[in-house]
Amino acid sequence: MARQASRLIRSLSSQISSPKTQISPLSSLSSSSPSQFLTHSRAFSAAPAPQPAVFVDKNTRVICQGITGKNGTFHTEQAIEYGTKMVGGVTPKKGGTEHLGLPVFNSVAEAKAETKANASVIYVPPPFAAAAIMEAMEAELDLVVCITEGIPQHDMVRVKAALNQQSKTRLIGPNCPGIIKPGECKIGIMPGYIHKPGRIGIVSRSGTLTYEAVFQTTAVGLGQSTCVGIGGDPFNGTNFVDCVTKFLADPQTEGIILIGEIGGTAEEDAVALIKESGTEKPIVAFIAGLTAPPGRRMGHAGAIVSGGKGTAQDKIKTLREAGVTVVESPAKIGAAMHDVFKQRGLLN
Amino acid sequence: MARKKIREYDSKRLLKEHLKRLVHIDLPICSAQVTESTDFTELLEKESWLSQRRLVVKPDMLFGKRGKSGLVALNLDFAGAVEFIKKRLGQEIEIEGCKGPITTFIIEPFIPHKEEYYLAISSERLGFNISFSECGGIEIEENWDKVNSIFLPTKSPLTDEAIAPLIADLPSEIGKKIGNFMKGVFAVFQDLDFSFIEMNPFTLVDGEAYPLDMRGELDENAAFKNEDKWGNLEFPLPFGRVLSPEESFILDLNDKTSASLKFTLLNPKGRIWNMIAGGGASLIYTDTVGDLGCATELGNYTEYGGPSEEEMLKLARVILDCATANPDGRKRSILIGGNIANLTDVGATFDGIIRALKEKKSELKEANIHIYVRRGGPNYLTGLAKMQAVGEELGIPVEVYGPEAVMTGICNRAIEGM
Repeated sequence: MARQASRLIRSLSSQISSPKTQISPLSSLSSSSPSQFLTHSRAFSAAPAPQPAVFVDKNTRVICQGITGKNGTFHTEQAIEYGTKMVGGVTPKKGGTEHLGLPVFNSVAEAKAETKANASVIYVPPPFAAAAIMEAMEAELDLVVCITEGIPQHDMVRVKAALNQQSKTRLIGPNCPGIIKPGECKIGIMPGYIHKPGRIGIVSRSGTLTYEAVFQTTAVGLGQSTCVGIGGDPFNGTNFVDCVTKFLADPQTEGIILIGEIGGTAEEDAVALIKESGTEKPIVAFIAGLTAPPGRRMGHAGAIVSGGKGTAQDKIKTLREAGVTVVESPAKIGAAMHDVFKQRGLLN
Repeated sequence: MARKKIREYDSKRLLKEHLKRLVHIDLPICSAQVTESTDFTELLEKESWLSQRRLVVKPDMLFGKRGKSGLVALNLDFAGAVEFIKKRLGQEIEIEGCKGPITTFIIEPFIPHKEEYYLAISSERLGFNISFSECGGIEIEENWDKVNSIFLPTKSPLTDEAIAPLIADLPSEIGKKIGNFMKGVFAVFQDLDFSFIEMNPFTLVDGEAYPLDMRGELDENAAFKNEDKWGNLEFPLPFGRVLSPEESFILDLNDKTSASLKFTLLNPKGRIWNMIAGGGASLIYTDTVGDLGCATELGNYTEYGGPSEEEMLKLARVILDCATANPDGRKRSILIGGNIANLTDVGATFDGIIRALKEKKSELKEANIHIYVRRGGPNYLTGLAKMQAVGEELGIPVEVYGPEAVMTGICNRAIEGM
């Protein structure tokens, strides 16, 4: 765990100290020397957009796998209404048709080639969801968000192994509400209307609690930079550590909210990262399941406390030792962040 | 979580059947399962080996450390086994603080043996953990340093090379046999979507591996893939959990729908009941009521997500029945709603609850029920207005709050005056 955190810190600090790494699209023209790139860059009129700070932004082009199904249809409509750049969908055997005004393709590869999509959202039932993730990975999309709940463990272990052998595609989920950059891109089932573009990055295992934190941070005037629902499954594509890494490096994210649950060690891993980074960004956390007795299953399928490890009390202690403000009630998340901002003179 | 424990009887049944199918290993194990409905004459007819060999009897109730519980009998004949079981079936015992009745036993041939080996396979995030020890059995925990483990990354085959470190200390003939057995068990593990298998111990009979005690966990999410392979399989509740009729009813409903409906009875005499949407939110409400000092007054733990009006009606009826039982004149509260819905039409989902409330008008009044609603989401104002209206119509105190109130504010309101 700590090794993973230090690896991330090293890559983080190298990103900060060598801005050249951001000119990645031009580096494929390996015949020219670097200085020529800088003078000739203005000649390329359609330079690809820079990478999003936290996985998605207004330039993200999204396809929906499972678009013609009930959930796919409903949520794609909502996404279009929000202003997400939905560019197409994938339903095998329905390629060539149109749905919700978008072109439907038989495969992710076809969809990507035609629409230049770089992200996908998956609303596909459990028996087929792992294959859908693999397909998106093979097509080398930048981001895959899998909403599906109930994918068999061995399927996800295989997906995880494949994910780890490449670095092009990131998976968020499965069994997650999705990711939203308010005002720019909404991928998933969260209520867009409570979000407001702003200064706080939120990462959470629980969808419903996230919406409370969003509502509160909107209400105190802070707004959100990006909100990531990583989902309730222990075998998932993106964890607290991955999101906190991005938040720490994102200038728009001035404060971070972590919403965790009993079970597993994801929050503890994030703490190691926070400590090593030495960041001054205010961090507020809430851990659900304080009253859950050991051995009982409550809340999410993923949230089981087994003998000592992963109890809410342990997590809260670890977080506080790293300088994180841990609130005891979800009602206090927004106010706590507001207070820390005030104390640090960050309020205008 | 999808990792669900299964009985030893089923673990062994699956192992035997699929070890044969996948790697042509004939495991000579046999087991018989005994429950309160077992007819011993019929059992003997089906499993004639029961009268031909000496037997071992063990409880098959998903708890371990059975040898230390006084529930295991060795070297009995069939009549002795039947007597042993009849004396104990249905009796309540306590294991690690959990009380419950013994409902299921397993009978197997008594195998005198010398060696006791340990084997465990478990699914991890990036692959599999395989552990082996020559010092298995009841003292395994004391000899944990003698356990060898390997980590096999996903997609890597379990080759002789990979197994070598596990069996390094064994004489080569035995090592080969056990190595082959391990490969076979691993093949079954993967093919049947096990998430955990443990044999403590297995021994050698005529030079071949023979599991004596075995534990297994299957990935319930993989049920759709394995219906035929798993056959008639039961996922028993943890020991000590006996479902009430209401809980069984809702569990049944939940299994038949893609919506989520959960109901656990905590305290039938409790005075704070809830109908909360969302796994995270429902945890929060129970935590908050606990924080306010009223955890013991919680009647139920409930979570729902995406139900139809009919499904909501059924869930609400169960909760209202429980909440209004045995009225004693003191205040009782029902918390409804929860968080800010994303896309659920709040106006529509309340309709199921409202129908249930109307059905129970007199019971609600007699039990002095106060209702507190907090909800946000599409059409929430319509939903809240409907709830307010039904309160007025039925003459029951109903307070409604939208997302401007904190989620758990209604918990304070609910316990006021208790």
